[in-house]
Amino acid sequence: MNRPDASHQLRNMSNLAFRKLLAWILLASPAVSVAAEQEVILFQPGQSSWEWLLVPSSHDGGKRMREGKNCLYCHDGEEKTIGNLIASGEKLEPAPIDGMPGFVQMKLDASYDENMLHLTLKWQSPEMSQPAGDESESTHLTVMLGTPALSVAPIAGCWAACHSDLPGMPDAQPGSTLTKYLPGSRTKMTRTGGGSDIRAEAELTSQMNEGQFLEYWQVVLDGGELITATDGYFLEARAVNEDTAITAEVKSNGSDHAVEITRPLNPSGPQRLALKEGEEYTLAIALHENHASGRHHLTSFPLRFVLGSGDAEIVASPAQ
Amino acid sequence: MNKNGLFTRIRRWLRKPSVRWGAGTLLIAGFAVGAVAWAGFESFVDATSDNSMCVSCHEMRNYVFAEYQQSPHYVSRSGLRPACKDCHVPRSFFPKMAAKIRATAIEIPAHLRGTIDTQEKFEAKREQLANRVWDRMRSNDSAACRNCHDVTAMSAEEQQLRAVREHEAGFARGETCIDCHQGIAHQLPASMLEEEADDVDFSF
Repeated sequence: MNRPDASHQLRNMSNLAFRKLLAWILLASPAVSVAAEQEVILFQPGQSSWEWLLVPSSHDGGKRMREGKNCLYCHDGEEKTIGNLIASGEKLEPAPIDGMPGFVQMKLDASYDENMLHLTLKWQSPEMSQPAGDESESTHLTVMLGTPALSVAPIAGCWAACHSDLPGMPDAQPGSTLTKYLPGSRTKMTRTGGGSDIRAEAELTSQMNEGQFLEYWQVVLDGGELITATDGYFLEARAVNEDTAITAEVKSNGSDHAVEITRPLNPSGPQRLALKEGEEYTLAIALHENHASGRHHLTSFPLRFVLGSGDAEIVASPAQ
Repeated sequence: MNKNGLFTRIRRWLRKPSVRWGAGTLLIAGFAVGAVAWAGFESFVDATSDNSMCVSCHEMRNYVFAEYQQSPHYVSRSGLRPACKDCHVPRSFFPKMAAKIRATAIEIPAHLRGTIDTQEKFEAKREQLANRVWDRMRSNDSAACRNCHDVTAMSAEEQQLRAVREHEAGFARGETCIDCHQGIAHQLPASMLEEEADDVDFSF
């Protein structure tokens, strides 16, 4: 065995010292912050509606929801199992789509600078032998944002806007044109949803001014090409804002996609939510793939979202 | 013959030494007779605690036993199948005797009177009967559950997250098994199924 000579040893020592110095600089400097990719599982929700969640015989966790616990309190780590169960048609999905996966893994990068939030979402489109629906574009990526001002947002996320009387759901009336709405927008909610008994305009305006709505950002792709990037909100219905506050950049390589959504921290208009460092919000993601529409999408559980630092599921880091 | 005469003769007979049998013989014979009597009594108690005895009354067979056959305590992944007595007859002697006396004094007369001899009558009393069982289980810290389920043997790694969290929270609140695990072998009373009472608040 050849012993290393003195110059070799010296080179090794200097390399080691350099690495230690570099590591010390990276760790010690508060100005250097690298946003870590955070993984989120999106899964098929089938016909699990707000009402389904609250009826004890269908979902025992309704009582915990009433205590303020959110989905992850019981179901953290069960996303794949739940998605596969629903995709199989065994539960909550009367018309499973052949080849549609029960879940999709998505990676998130969130960061912010003085004025803007940057959210990058990366995923791989599932390969399917036939279209999952009749939407003209292949992919709809939707991100939902809520604040604690809407008490149901951190508890149920997307499910606060998903009801049994919406098209494709178990209690939909024939020809119904209802779109996603929040329970607070209806005068009375029953096990079949809230129907069209919408609260007075003044009440809805008051709810909006108090932040009691869900904002969403939607990026539509077709074959990996960006088609539209819009924002809107859910209150008494799904509404699209006339002038979008978001921009989107898409990088696709075959079935691999990376979409970066950029949005002002303080956008204009009462129908948009202001984002502040240190505050906790709710973020949720929905993905319609392969021309799917309606309930045939993949959704995340409601995720806690903070700007800065914290133990939330999604942490946006300050940009370098 | 007066009473005092009888008692006196019995006392004398008990105190009179045997001239025919040795003390050891008498002692062994006494143990043997006692053991046979005890075994016979236990067999009788066991026989009256057997599922076949329970379902010999149609109230049990048609309602609660049929429900139990649909429950995870009848068919499960592990193949564990507790019988009626495992939940409803205490294992230790005195509580078991109390249960037997209670059954004899209350349940048999109720059967003869036809208190719950139809589905309608049974449903009308289901909540009262269920609460009676649950109260008893609460009073003994769900001893019947713990005969098979040992909290210290539960693996958090193998339990679902919700089970781990709910167990921790429940025990911290001083709750016992039956406070949460109701309706796991028989149906819950209708009043406890909120949806049937139509009082679920969907507005939050």
